[in-house]
Amino acid sequence: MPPDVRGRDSTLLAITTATTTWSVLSASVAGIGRLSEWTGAPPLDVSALLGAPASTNDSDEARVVVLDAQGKQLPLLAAGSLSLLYTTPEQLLELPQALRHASPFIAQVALLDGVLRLFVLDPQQLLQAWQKPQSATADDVHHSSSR
Amino acid sequence: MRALVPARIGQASFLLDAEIIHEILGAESWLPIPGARAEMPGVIAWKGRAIPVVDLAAPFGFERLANGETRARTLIASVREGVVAVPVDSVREVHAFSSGDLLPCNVTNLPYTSAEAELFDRVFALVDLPQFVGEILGGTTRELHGREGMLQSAP
Repeated sequence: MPPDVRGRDSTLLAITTATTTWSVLSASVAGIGRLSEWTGAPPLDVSALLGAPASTNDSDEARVVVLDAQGKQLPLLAAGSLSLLYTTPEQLLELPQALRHASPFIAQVALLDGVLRLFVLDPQQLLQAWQKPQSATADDVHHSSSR
Repeated sequence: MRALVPARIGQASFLLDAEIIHEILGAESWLPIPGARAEMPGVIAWKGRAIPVVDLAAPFGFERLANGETRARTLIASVREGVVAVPVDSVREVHAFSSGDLLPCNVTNLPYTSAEAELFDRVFALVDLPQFVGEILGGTTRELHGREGMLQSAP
């Protein structure tokens, strides 16, 4: 389960790219490393998930942010600048029900300096998105090998 | 008598029921939500919560709100599903109309309108915002493509 921060101050790890800014609760971050040194499964490209152009992986600044999601390690591609933001409960606003189907990965939007500026993502939804293509790949391999 | 709020987006002059309007704000920045429809492209912050932005320019066939773009006024309106924000170019003071003032649509040809009325030497279409929002959320909004040019100029 993601940490329940309702009613408490919380810290966000924010990733700012050229086209979007997304964040996760820092309490759910298990680690951060350089993409060039990452040897695990391909990380989930969050920017692409949010409709931005797919991240270019050749940047020296690209990092892998590993989330602890439901006890599983979920690697996220963070091709942008990283920063920590301290927020109060009043700054984190729930995404209206009417828009949740459009972006199920977005749990909240954050108000910074009086302006809505970034998305707070839901680790469970990200985990599902990460597992889907992997499942599909596994199925594809199974089908092709059984031909 | 029916109290209506005259507003304008682009060349479209229209009326909304005053009883559903909570507030009229200035230009409000909004956050686009990825994957959202053109009719409900994002959210604004209002009274400690995020509320959907409804872009009436989408069904009217006018230039839709681009990311980062605002309009000079923002109507905060109540519909059955909750509170929404409607950015518009301008708003005028509330006017009271008798049932005889509201005529079947003849000059205007905007969607989601039930009547039209003359005001300031122009013809305003009465827009049914609750119906529009209901259809957005129900996934039954009318086809938006090809609406350009459907508005007829007021005489």
